[in-house]
Amino acid sequence: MLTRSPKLSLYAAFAATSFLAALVLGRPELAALGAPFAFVLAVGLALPSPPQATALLRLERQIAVEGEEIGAELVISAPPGAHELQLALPLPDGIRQAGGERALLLHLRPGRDRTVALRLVCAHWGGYRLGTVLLRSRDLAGLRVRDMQASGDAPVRVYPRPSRLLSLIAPAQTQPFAGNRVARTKGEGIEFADIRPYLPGDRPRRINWRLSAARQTLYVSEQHPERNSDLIIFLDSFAEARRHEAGTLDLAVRAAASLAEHYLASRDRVGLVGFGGVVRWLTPATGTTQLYRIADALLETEVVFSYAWKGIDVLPARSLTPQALVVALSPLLDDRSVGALLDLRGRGFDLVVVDVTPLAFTTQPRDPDARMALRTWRLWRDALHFRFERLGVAVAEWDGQRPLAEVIEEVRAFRRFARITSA
Amino acid sequence: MLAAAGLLCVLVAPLARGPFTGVALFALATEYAVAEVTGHIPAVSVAGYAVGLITVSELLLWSAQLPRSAAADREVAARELLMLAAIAVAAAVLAAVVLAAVGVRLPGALDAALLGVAAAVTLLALPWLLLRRASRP
Repeated sequence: MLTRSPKLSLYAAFAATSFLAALVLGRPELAALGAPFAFVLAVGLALPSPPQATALLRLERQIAVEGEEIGAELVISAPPGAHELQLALPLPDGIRQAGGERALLLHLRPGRDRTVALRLVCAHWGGYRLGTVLLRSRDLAGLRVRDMQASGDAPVRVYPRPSRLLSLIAPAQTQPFAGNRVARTKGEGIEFADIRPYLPGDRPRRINWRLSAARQTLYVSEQHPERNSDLIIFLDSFAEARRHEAGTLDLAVRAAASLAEHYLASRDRVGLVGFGGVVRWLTPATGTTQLYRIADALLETEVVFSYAWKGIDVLPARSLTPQALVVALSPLLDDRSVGALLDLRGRGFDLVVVDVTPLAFTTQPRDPDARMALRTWRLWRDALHFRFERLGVAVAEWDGQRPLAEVIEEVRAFRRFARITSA
Repeated sequence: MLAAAGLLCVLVAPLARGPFTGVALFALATEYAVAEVTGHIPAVSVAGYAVGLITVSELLLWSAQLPRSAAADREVAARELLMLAAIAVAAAVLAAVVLAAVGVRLPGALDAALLGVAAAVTLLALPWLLLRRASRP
């Protein structure tokens, strides 16, 4: 779009006024004052109007982890007559330009393309579509301005950066597939479990010769088999508490990504249940492909407002496999998610609740009534925690300030003495 | 007083990005006109004043159209300074030419009247022609 710059109006008004003043006052010197402005107008408008230019954004890669920088190239096609170009890259909230400068003022050589290298910082997880470039060229005298928009499509997926975990929550029961986890049952394995008298059918290599020699009767050693387990990440997206750029859903997604990565690295199967206005699930599976599947599903997670009452009945049976460990990441703000978690526990699932606390996103009110309301709400939340704990469910609060590993340790400590059941 | 207001506007304009440039230009020009009419300054000084005025305007308008945070090529600044120098020289020459033209005495009243009519028509037609041209893509 071609527009007149403020300079054109200002110079025209000034030249006209000075000429008029020279005529009215009979002072030709005043005309001399306005003559240079009229000259700039006349020469500037006689020159060609600002040319069209196009730009294309190319990304070095389309996948990044939160906090990483990705390289980008802006290829600008300069038509004949182009000499200067202002260029701005409108970026979504989660992406910013390294160095902080969003606009570029480029010198162009007419008819020659120019490539500008940029660094983009992926500040927040999410799926983004980049490629829109705003261009502004002006004529040689700066009297006319042409604004253009180059629309390209450069998608980039920024995955949440996983936290470092020192240990994982061991599930109550393991699955029948081979893995890295020592099962509670006895069978073929490496880890020593027990010693018992020899029974017909026992393999001779399992005989504990030292003990058998001492007791003068045959004993065999038993081992725990190495098995894998199923982890279901239950992500509550009914509601979130948000303040500025951070919110409980962000924390929950980061925690989910961390858990998925670590459990999958331990050869466990990981599934995902997104429980909210939109219910989505991924059946448990193992491997790198599953990690990317989960990461992609997490990127699409958002709070969708809904009045519909939903229970865990809406989930297909294969999404909640028997003997799976369910780790719920929830701000416990919505009765539907609280009800679903209690229902899960009632059905015998091995449940852990990580309360992504919304208290971290509240401020201390000045009003006494509001302070009282906040205290009551805290008490209600404590009562809810206690209700879960009474059912043998470990509940740990996470405010995003302390490391996730600490929360996991807290859960592990609780589970050492808790009544563990499995579906 | 006007000069002080004009200078203040010149100082404020780069921060306010635009709106004060016009005020500064008109305030400084009015100050000059008042001084010139009251006969305090020699007529020749108009050349210097015109150069100063257009240089200040160009700089203020250039600063207003620059983005707040931008990485600029060195060539852009160099070209802009070159342009500014050319405009300053052209302004000085033009102002001198206008002043010289003031001294020209026409032989007859009819010639003077014809020249006056032509100047008036040009003056009125110029903005219309320029704006019509500017609106064309």
